[in-house]
Amino acid sequence: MSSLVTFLETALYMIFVQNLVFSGGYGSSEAIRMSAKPKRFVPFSIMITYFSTLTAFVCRLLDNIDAVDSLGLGFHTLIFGAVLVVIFIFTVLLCKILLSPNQKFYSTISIAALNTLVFAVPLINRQAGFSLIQSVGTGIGSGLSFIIALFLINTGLRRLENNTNIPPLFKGTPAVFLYVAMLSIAFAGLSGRSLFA
Amino acid sequence: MANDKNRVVLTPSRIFIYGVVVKNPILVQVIGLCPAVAACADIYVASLLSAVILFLLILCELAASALLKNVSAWVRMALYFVMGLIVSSLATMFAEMYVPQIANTAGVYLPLMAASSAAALRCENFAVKKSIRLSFYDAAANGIGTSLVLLFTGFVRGLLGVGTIGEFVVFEKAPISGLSMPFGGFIMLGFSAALLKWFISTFLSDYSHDMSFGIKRAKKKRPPARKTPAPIKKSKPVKKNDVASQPVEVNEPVTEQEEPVTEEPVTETVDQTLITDEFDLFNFSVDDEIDAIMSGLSSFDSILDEISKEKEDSENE
Repeated sequence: MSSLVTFLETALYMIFVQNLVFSGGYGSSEAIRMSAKPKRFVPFSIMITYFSTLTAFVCRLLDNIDAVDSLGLGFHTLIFGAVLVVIFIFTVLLCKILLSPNQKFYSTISIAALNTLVFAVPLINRQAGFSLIQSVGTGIGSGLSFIIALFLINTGLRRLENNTNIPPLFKGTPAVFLYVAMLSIAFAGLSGRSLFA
Repeated sequence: MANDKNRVVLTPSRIFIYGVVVKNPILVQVIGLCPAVAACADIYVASLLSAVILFLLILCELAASALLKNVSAWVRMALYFVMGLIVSSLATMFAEMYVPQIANTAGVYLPLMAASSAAALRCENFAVKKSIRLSFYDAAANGIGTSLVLLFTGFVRGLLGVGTIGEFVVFEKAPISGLSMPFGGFIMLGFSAALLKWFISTFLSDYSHDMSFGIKRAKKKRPPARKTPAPIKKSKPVKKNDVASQPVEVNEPVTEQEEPVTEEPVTETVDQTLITDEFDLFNFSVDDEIDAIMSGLSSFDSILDEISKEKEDSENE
C-alpha cells in the first residue's frame, strides 16, 4: 500500500508540481511543435510515457549495481543512453514484426523515444536518489505531464492565432515563447518557489 | 543549372545567412530549446553547451552526408543519438575533470545534448540529401546560430538573473532573479525572437520573404497532399533576369549536381524545396504532422498556419 502511495505521489508531483516541460524545459521543442497537432497528442504521449517509464525502470535497476552506481555522470550518460537505444531498437523491431507499421510510425516513434524528456528521466531519478517505485512514478508522470503541456500550449496557440492585439513584431514564434513562459511561471508558482526575490 | 526556373544558387553565404539568422534553429525553427531555456543562465555554461552543440552538429551532419544516406530513417535517428551520446559523455567527463564548477552548474543538461533535436532534424533535413561540403556549411551555420542564441541568453540571464558575468559580480542583488529560472529562458527567447524579426526586416529585407515569423509572407494555397513524388519534369532554361518572375515548379525530388569548387562564387544547384521552409510546408499533408516535425523545415509559424487551415476546413464542413 505504501508503495502505491509513493508511486502515485511521485507521479502526481511530476505531473503538476514539477512538470518537466515547463519547469525544466525538457522536451519543450517537441511539445511546442507537436501542440498544433491534436490528433497526435494521445499516441505520441503514450509512446513517450512508454519509453520514459521503461528506461527509468531499467536504468534504476542498473543503478542498484554498486559498480554502476559509483560511476560519474559521464559514464552514466553513456549507460543510460545505451539503455534507451536498446529499448528503442527492441521496440521498433517488435512493432515491425507484430504490426508491420507504415513509415510514419517509425518517424513518430523515433521522435518520441529519442528526445530530451525521455532521456532526462533516468538522469533526474539518479540525481534525486529516487527508489525503483519512485522512478517508475517519475516515468509515468513525465509522460502524462507531456500531454498536459500539449493541451495547454495548444489552447494558447488557437487564442494567439485569433488575437489581433498582438504587435506585429511579436506575432508568431515570439508570442508563443512568451505564452509558454506564462505557463512556466504558473507551474513554477505551484512548486512554491519565490519567483522574483 | 542555376538559371533553371525551379532552382536557386545555394552559396555558402546563403547557407550561413539562413542558418544563423533567417532560419535560426532556436528562434525560428523552434528546435534545441532545452539547453537555451533551462541551462543557459550563465555565460560559462552557455559557452560549454555552444561548443558541444557546434561540434555535435558538424559530426552528425558530416556522418549523415557521407555514410548514412542509404540507411533507414529510424536507424539514422538512433545513430544520431549514439553520436550525440559519445560527444556529450566525453564533454561531461572533460568538464567534470577540468571545470567541475561549470559541469555542476550545467547539471544534466550537458548529457542531454545527446538527445538534442537540432542535430537529428538538421541531419534529416539537409545532410542526408546533400553533399558533404554543403552539409559542413549547414552544420557550421546552424551551430553558430544556436551558439549565438545560447551565448546571448546566457549573458543576459546571467547578468540580470544572477547578477554576474561569469565570475565577475556586477550586481550584489540580481535585478530580475526570475530570469535565471526556466520561464526566464522562455521570456528571453520570446524577446530574442522579436529582436531577430526586427533585425531581418530591417537589415536583411531581401530575405524577409523567406523568414518564417509570418510578416511579408504571402498566403499561398496549398496543393493537395502527395504521397509519392510527382514525375520529374524538365524545366526549360529561362533567362536569368526572368527567374524571379517565373512560377516555381516544385516537382522534382532531390537532384543535386555537384560542380567543381571555384573561387567565387561556390555554387551548387538544388531544388528550392530543400532550402525554403515555405515550399516544403506546402508539400505537407495537414495530417502529416510527424513528417513535418521530422523534416524540421517547417517553422513554428507554419504550424500556426496549419491551425488556421484546419479551422477553415472545419468551418467549411
